[in-house]
Amino acid sequence: MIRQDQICKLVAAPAAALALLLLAGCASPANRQAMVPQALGALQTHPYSVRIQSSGGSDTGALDSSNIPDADLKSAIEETVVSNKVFKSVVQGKDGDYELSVRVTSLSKPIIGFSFTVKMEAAWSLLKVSDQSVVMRKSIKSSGTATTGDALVGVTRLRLAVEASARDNISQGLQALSALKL
Amino acid sequence: MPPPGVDGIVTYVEKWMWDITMYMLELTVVIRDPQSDFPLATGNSYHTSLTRKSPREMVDEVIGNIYKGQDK
Repeated sequence: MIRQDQICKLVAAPAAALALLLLAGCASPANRQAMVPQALGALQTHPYSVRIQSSGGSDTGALDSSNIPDADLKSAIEETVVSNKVFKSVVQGKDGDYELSVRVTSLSKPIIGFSFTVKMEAAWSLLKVSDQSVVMRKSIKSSGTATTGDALVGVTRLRLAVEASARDNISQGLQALSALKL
Repeated sequence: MPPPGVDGIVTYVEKWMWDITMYMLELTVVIRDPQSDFPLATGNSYHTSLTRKSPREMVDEVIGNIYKGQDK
C-alpha cells in the first residue's frame, strides 16, 4: 500500500528536477558590470575627450548561448575608461577629440565540456576626429575560462567565460590605448 | 607572412552540427589586413537545424552581410 506522502515524494522529485532543468537551460547575456576589468594598474592619461562606439555584438535569444550586446560592451568600456582615467572625459553624440570604435569580430564558445574557454577577437580603432586620421588599428585577441568551481550550471559557466574574455579584451585594449602618444 | 602584392587575407570558420544529417550551423568570414592582421570586415551567418541552409547559401548570406550597408 502506497501512502499519500510517498506519492507526493515520487511526483515532487521529478517535477523539481524538471523545473530546475528548465530554469538552468535559459541563457542570459553577458553582464555589463562583470565585463569591467578591475585595477588596470598605472595608465597614462590622455588630456582629450573620447566618444566610444561598439558593434559586432548580439543579443541573447532564449535558446541561444550568452552573447555580448553592443550597448553593454560600450558601457563597460566607457566605465573602464573613466575609472582608469585613460582619457580626460567620455562624451556622447558627435562631440569628442577622438572616436574609439570597438567591433567584435569573433566570439568562439564551446558547446560542451567541464571547463569552458571562450575566445574573443575585437577590432579596436582610434580615430582623431579633427582630421579623420587613424591613430590606432589593432586586433585584440583574448580568452576567458570558467570551470565547474565557478558554476555548476553550464549556461552560467559559459556566461562567466564570455564575461572573462570581454574583461581581458577591454583590459588589453585600454592598455594599448594608454601606451599611445597622442 | 603573406607574399608581396596581397591586399587582403580572407579567413573563415565553419561550425557543423548533426540533426538527422550534417548541416552547417555557423559560418564566419573575416577579411584582414595582411600587414597588421587587423580585421577590415567580417560577416556571420547562423542557422539552426530548422532554418538550415546549404553551404553555398550560407556563403552568399555572409558575403551579403559583409557588404550590407556599404551603399548607404
